[in-house]
Amino acid sequence: MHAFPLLGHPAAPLFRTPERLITGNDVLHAAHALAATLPPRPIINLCRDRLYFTAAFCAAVLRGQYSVLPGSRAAGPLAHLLALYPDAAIVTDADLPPCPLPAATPVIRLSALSAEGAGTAANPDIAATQVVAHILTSGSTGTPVAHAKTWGGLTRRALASVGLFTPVPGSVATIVGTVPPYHMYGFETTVIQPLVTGCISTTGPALFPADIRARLEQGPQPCILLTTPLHIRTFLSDHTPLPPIARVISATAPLDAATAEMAERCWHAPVFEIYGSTETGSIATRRTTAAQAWRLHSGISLHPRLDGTASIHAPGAPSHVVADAITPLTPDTFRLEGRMTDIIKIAGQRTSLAGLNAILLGIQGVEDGTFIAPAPDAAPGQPVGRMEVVVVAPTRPAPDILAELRMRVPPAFLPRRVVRVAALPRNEMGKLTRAALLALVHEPPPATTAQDAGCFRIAPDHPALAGHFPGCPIVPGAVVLSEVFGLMGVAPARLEQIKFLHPVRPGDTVRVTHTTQPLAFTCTVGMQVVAKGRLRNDAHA
Amino acid sequence: MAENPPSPSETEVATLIVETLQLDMPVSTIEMDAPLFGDGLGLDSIDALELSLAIKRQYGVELRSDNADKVDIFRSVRSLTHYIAAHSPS
Repeated sequence: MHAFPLLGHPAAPLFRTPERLITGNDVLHAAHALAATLPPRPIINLCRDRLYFTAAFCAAVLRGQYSVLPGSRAAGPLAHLLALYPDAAIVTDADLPPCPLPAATPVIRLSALSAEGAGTAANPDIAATQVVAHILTSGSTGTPVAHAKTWGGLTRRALASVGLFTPVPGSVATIVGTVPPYHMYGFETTVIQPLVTGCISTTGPALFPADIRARLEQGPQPCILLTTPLHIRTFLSDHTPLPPIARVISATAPLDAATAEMAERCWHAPVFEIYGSTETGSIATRRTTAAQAWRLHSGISLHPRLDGTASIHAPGAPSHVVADAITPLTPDTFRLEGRMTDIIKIAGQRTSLAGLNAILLGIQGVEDGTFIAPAPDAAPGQPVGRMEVVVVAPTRPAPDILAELRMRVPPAFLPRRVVRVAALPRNEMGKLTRAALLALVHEPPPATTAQDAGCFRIAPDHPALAGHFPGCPIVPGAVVLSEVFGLMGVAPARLEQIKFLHPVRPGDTVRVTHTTQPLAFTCTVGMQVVAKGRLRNDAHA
Repeated sequence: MAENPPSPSETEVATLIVETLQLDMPVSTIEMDAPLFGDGLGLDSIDALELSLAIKRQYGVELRSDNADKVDIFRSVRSLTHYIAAHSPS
């Protein structure tokens, strides 16, 4: 029978906390101590800190139990999870979401890990067939579906990805992850990969750009920034240089080539994408700026189906039909053609439009209605798109509907707007078109048509650029604004709102258009909107 | 005890939140002490990230999770306003 050790390199550092390096042996000692206290039940692993999460995961494996990964820590999904796993125990390192717990559910709160046990801890071989994790996805009805992961399947996937996680041959890399460990992408890359192939995973906050800089500065080098397109776009729009990065790895949604190219230029590191799913784990990779084609990890094979999708075969895992249209190019490369189904992904979480709509239509007083998904590809520097809801519900005010949805829908998919209408704009076939829905929920265009205010261009030798963003010069927003105010002939003090949506480069020609009711301006470079602002209409005040 | 009315700077921060996150609600309906996440405004970590960039742009204040004072920055509009005021470059 095949088996793989729980840790590939127990003597080596496995975690970098803000304070120190933690070796594999430290984690094993803590896991053995925790395993001795765990009830003989599956555990719902709600730990946010990667070190605590990994210790709890290893403790469950040592007990022959599996960990349930929630995918989200929100109250609604957790309630579903407790219904699906009534016999599970919860392990957490933070306050639980406000969700009623069955009286019989044990809750184990981790506030410190046992540091007892000197020397080498037992590092047993784990059978390849042992189920070590259940990972949840939203099914088409909105109810979570569990996917069982075996130790052999996860280990083989990590071994196949070792090249991706070795940006500098011969050096152990540090992974700075911005994704949580209880989501498949973060689990595979920041928990399993370090356990199996010996890279170092970082703990500590990794949300804001300042957090990420602190984690990267700590190293040890070389560092991999493991993140998502959403984080890459926001970090780029922050305009603050990051410490050295050897490689950027992105997953959860397609990364557009323009953002990848900007990230490579600003951070001086190649950007790789991972393609995969909760069902299959990581199966392919590509360097976004170099190739349209994806290369399958070794051991993975792809079998095209008549409907344009493909079935994925990976050792140690059930075969799975992906939700994307795929064109095979060679036996180990393929091109992604787009989504086949109504699957929506926001912030690495996945759900189906049909599932969301089923929840919406189940709310009392809702006669008709639909969620509207955001446009899939936001431009670099643009905020992430969010869901909207349009609904026919004569007796329920919009805040009521939002409150009901909040109980049932993960926060990433909660609508930003709930627009009540008398009837949905169904066409003669009874279908709703996206264009008709968007026209219904979005505000009418400004009352006055935009007038051209003129153009400006900031020369590369403008004094404001010196030292502003070395190696990747960007025109400061204040310089853009002063040019706009000059062209419009208004006082800067009247500025009410400004959004910089895309960086302006030295040498770009910026066109300024404005409206008078409301008093607002838009700056564009080519077809790209780079800034939008609104001014107070108080010229006569 | 009657609730403190919003100060001008709290109203300004509430306006920034509504505009940055494109919330479909008038600023006047936001309670200054209501939680920004979970049951209050129902914001999530992506919102926090977007908001952090807008705050840096508007106030020059950079948010980080591991500040030594461990202020729960996003607890409410009021706590966020206090944080910005305490950390604004003079």
